[in-house]
Amino acid sequence: MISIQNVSKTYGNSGKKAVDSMNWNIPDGKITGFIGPNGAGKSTTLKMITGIVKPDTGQITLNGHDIEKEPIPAKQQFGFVSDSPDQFLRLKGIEYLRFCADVYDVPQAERGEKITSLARRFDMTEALGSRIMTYSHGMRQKIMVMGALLHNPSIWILDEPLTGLDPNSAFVLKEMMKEHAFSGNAVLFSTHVLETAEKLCDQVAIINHGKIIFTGTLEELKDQYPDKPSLESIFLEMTQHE
Amino acid sequence: MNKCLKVTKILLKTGGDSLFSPSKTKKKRVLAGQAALIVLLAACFVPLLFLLYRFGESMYQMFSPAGLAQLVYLMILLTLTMATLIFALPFIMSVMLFAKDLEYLLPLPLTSLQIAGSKFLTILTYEYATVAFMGIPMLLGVGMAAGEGILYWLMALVVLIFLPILPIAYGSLLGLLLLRLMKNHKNKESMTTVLSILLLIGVMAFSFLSSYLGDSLDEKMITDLLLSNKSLLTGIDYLFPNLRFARAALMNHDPVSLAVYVLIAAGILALYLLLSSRFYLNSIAGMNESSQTGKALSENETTRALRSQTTVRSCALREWKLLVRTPIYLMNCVSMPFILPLFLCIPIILEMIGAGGLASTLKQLHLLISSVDPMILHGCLLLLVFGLTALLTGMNLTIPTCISREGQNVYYMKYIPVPYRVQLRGKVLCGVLISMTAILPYQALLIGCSCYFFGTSLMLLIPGCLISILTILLISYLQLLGDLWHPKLVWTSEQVPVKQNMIAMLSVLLSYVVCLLLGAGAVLLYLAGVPILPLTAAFLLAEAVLALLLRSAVYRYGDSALEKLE
Repeated sequence: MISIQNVSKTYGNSGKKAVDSMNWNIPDGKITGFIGPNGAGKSTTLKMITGIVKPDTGQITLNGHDIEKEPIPAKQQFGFVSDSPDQFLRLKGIEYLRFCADVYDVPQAERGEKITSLARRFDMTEALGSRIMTYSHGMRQKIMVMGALLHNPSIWILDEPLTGLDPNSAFVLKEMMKEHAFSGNAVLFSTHVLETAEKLCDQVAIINHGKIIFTGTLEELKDQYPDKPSLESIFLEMTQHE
Repeated sequence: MNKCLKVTKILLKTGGDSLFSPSKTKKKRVLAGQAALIVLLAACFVPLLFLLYRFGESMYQMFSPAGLAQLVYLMILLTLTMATLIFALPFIMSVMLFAKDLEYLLPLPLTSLQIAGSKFLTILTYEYATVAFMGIPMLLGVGMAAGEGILYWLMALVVLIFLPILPIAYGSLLGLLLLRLMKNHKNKESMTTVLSILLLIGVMAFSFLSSYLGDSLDEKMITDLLLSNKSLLTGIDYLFPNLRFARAALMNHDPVSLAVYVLIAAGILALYLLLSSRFYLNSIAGMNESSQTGKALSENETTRALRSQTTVRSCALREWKLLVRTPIYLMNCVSMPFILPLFLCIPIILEMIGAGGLASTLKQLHLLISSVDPMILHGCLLLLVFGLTALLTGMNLTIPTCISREGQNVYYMKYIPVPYRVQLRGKVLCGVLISMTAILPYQALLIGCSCYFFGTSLMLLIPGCLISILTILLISYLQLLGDLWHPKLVWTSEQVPVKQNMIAMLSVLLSYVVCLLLGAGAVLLYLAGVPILPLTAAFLLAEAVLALLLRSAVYRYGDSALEKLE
């Protein structure tokens, strides 16, 4: 479970809060979609949860570990896939996965089996011996997902994970997210595609101007706007009139 | 033309990231630090500018009375042309041949002529810095010595403006030719690396040969060489036909010669544009593409590839792989400490051979050295080991660019569950091992040769190795401190964090300063007659204590610097 309590963040001396007094609990056993317009504060929130950016105030815990006070145990709790898969391009896929296995302390005995299984599911078996720079955007995304899931983290944090994936791989990842949540773990992913959120998420959080303006199930959201025919129109209504 | 200029402007903005790009957070403090760095750099360059001025002035005073003023102009213009060619080659490689901006330029409504032209203009703009830095003081020296008037200064200005066109066009066409030759090669990246290293060796060999010739030939020999060997002059005129007219314009203030000089440059530029508009895009297309092996790894290969290792070793290995697989990093960070000693030694050996044979020179040296107290000789040798280590560690840019090279991906360092100091230790381990692999064999060779030829003790290998290892550690921690203090993380081209990095430049500069101080150290050693053994022991102890203190300070600072990085 991820717990965010009274978290705020302002960049530089702008005075404008990228995230403003956020309180949010992301429960285990559910897929939580994180949606909001560009510049609403999604990336800053994910960066604060993962320890990339330090909040000005407030506290973030992952399975009870404070990301600021106990950074290493907290970072062991999650697997993070960023929105840019263009990393370590000159490493081979297998070298990148070995690096991930080393830094996340994956035992020697489990590495081969786990990687073989992930590679088979994502159809990456034949690509592991090649450098990441030779991969397509979707394949880069898949190797980053594999690296993030290698240590069986209980929390998955995925920033736009489906961008660039072919239909098969997108289906596989979505199934894996469902399986992971079904096993009692937390999955948090950000997306701009409302249809994906509608079909995949058990609950959503909508952020605008650095504030969470809604958390709950999609049914609860639709109940609040009975006159709106679609999630898209609800989203537009909420974010344009804020 | 308008579009061409607009593309050039964008290329200059995106490729030539500022050397001094302050972070938004610590702007004031960083600006103050940068101002100090600029003053330091200026202080280093002013003597060089004065030397160039004196070179032009003394050449004129030397040759003009003998009616050989044309030789002065020939040598200055030829030096400028060759310097432009040498300095343009790395730019041609990065701006023209291996730039990744083509995939953004090609879909735009631009003709191949406009793209090739804008690339040329970008390199030309960079090269004006070289021409201005070298050409203005030299021509100023000649002009002042000759008591020239306004016409000379105007003509000199025009000559300098058009001078870089020929060497850049030649370099670019050579690059295009090489690209055509390697176009069908399967492993383009390794070919690129090999070509880059060959080019680097070629450039260094040429510059060292020039300095060797410059040092060993006196005024009469140069005159005889140029005047008696007509084919040399003719060859220069064929290769750079514009120089003859530039010479005439400067000497005789002849506007017709100046017009012909400008026309030749314009003609070569037109020829270059014609050829590059036909061949440039064809040659360059697909340069950065590489293909997958398409073969699944066997069980054995997978097991081997996934062998568990410590996190520090894993971070060091990742660093090493990224360094050797990126041509720009391999050339500028890794190869320098390995190659440089060869280029320092070859001219010395050549000079010794030229001065009456290697054996006789060594014999004379032996005679000279036998009169020196052996302990002072040992002290000087250890100083030399220290100097060599400092110079080569300063040239190894692995550590002073280790954070900068991460660029925008530096955030991965913040979300992996590895303490910052462990990640930094991995980076230091990689850089230190590169330095040790390059330096320890050279210092062993130096002590071995000294033992063989001059009878110094082979036991010096022990303090020599200790000095090298401690010096490498000390300088490496200093380099890391610099990059943590001022990392250059915003870049689009891989050459920026290495070539346009203030800390990397300072690292090289620092190594030169250490070498200069050594000369003073050796003299002091001789004059003061300090006992060498206690001095060496005290030096080693001081280095060890300093290295330990610095290590702890750097990792502590690293924790807070990386924590603050957003």
